[in-house]
Amino acid sequence: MNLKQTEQVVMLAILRKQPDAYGVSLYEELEKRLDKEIPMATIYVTLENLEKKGFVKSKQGQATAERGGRAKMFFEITGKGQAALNASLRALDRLREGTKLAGATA
Amino acid sequence: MIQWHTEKLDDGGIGIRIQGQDELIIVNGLPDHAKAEDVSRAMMEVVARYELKHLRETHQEALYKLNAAALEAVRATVAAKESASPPFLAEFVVSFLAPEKSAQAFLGDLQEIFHKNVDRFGEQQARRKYWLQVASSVGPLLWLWLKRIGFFTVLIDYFRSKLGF
Repeated sequence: MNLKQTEQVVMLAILRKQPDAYGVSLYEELEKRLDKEIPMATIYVTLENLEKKGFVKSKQGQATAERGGRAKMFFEITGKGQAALNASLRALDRLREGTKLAGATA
Repeated sequence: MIQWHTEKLDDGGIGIRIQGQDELIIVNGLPDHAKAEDVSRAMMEVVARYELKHLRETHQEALYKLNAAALEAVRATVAAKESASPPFLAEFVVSFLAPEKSAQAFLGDLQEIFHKNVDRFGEQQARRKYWLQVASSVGPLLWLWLKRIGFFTVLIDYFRSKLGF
């Protein structure tokens, strides 16, 4: 199953932030790495789609005072998700292989 | 500048009275027939010591005041931070549109970011940023909400029945 670009970046952010992958940490990681703000809702909508596809699973964390007593929701990538991400990134690499972009450093 | 004057004491010593103070500083150990400039030098030394002591006290007092003001400012900031809360209406919009399963986590995340922004930019700016975050979330959340309630299925069914296909 193909992944959309947003799904790819959110899954990569989860991999980077594991085991502390929840809304705020993913939001900050994406802002830092992509150099732009991704709306929190876009992250949650993407996570919901990924969970429906079985690529991501979530678990409830502890509620804290600074979050108004609301619990965090932690995310992790399933085996199926890892396979899909791997396939998607490999496909992208194959597509990129041999192409020359002006100004590209890699 | 501190004003002072001297007075001859009964025991032959010399007293210095500093203006505005009841304190009498007694200078002893001067020769019986001290020259006027010796007395004057001794007086100046006493006054200089007094001025130094007075300056130290003033300095100490200023430090205490500064400390108290800094403490008060910190307390006020902490109190302001603790009392700061995200805009109610914006929270309501999110809680209405967000999926039931993740609504609480989503609102908690927004509140966590809000408190970080209060620390960095102040409450007013943090509230503005919260509204911007909610405004940019309305589109994706609304889309998800419409899909969730089966709006598009109803719409397609409606046009099918109307157009007869």
